[in-house]
Amino acid sequence: MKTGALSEALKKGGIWGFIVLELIFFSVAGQFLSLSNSAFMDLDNMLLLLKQSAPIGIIAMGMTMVMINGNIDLSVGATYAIAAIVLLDSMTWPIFAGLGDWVILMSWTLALLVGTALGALNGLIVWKTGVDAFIVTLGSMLGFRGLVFMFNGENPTSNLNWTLVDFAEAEVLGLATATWFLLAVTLVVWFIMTRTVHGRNAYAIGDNREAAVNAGIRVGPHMMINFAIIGFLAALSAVVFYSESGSVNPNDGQLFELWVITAVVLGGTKITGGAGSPIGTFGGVIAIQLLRKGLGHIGADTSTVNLVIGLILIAVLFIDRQLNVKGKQELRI
Amino acid sequence: MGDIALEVRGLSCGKNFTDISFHVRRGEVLGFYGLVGAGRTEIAETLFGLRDPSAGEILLDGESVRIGSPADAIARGISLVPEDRKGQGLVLGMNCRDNMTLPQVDKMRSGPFIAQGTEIEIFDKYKDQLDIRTPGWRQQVGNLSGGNQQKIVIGKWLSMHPTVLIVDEPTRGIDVGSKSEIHRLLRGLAAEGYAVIVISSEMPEVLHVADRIVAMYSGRIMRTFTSEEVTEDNLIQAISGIKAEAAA
Repeated sequence: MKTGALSEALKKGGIWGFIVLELIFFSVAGQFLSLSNSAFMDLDNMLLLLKQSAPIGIIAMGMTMVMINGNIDLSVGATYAIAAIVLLDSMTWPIFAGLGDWVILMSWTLALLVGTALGALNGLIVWKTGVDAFIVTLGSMLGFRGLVFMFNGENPTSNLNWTLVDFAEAEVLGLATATWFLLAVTLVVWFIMTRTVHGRNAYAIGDNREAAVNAGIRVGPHMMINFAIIGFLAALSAVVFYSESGSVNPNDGQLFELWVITAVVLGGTKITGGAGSPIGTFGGVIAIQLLRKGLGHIGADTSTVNLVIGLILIAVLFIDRQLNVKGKQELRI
Repeated sequence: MGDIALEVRGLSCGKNFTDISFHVRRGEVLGFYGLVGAGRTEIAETLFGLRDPSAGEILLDGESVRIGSPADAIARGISLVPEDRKGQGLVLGMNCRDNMTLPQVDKMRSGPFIAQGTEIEIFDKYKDQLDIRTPGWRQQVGNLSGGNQQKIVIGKWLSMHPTVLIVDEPTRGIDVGSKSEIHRLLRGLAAEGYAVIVISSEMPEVLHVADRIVAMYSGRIMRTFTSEEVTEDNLIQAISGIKAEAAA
């Protein structure tokens, strides 16, 4: 029974153990290898880490919902870029000229609406055509990115609004605006998935779609709601990030979908659906950001970071598989 | 015996079954007996809105209805305990309570959230009534025995208070003790006024449980027996299509 208890503990809290390991490793290694004088576990550094986790983290919460539901969304990076362009460009539109700083509200709303609509469109196609979500969102990833390039070619879209920058750079109780958004989204998604009918049904559909249909659950609308939510969150992530940076390149957000999926899978969500939690995803997001930041701290370059994260992802899934095999007697399939 | 709860007239569905007519009254158990592939499960699926019929009529309490989806069927008081318990009946990763309340959880709200108290009440009620042996509602349904899993599925549908309860192979893969318990339960449900349809490939089961038996062969009804006139011999003849081939 002892091994069973151990594997159970590893399955449930594995990601947090991994984070602790990372912290210890980078703190110790940082003493010898780092060029900077400050310790890795410096409070400011950790708060910055939380803030930097927000763009990926906010989208990852949506991806958790979509993946628990048994789908996947590859178009989030492109949706992110579109929402950013809508946000920055709409602030310069003549119809909003008389609004003063109220234009911020208009632009935020507009960007979020566009993100939600694009997500809902994905969901509608998956629902009505029955084509696999992987294929549908692969298509929309290409399509949405095409729209981004059609808008302004290779040029960046820029517009700095200082009120907006002040808001995005504000700190409340020591936490940055972006961090607050990440925490709030995590909390809301956790409530949706564990306490509401939609969450319950999403789990059921992801685990056993046939049984869910047999229980009279309308599968399509639930899938579409989840896609709309992830579209909304991709736009929210863009809105929070670009309020501060004020300039979007047409390539921004590329590979976001892969980082997001990596974080969600590291956090214990099953890629086939039916299991997972936003809290685990939060851990996964932090773990990845720690790794990126930690490797930078000890002087590794970006390409090394990608290599290491890739290896860790495969290792984690291998360990997970080993823990989930019921016994050596299982059928070899 | 009560009024006719469900009547089917000339129902057909492509190659699956042709020209099916029968009725079932409240307080009656109607058995469907036949070989695997005779079209019995497909009839159940059509009544439950999982398939579209190509011809014919379904009448509930004398009123012609069109059943477009399982949600439709459930709203009209038809419930189906499916043949493949693990594949179609249960969400194995979920706990006992969540499985039992799955079809009606959307009606149990307090504010934006699920009313978990109501859920546990329902679970406890049917746990006692059906004598489901589980340590508690938190237990994952995949860890229960076959008999207890089947009782969870049955409890799930009883809690919806259907008029017509269709059970497809209710005792497949279940130990002998639970089998007779489920048989008793089905008789009890009929006595309470449910119209029960039992589909089974086990002759002792239909002979024991059903008031009338519909014998099917290759998508058609060969004969409907009352419990007085049925014998093992004429039932076997009917389901193997011997009469039909002799006539042809």
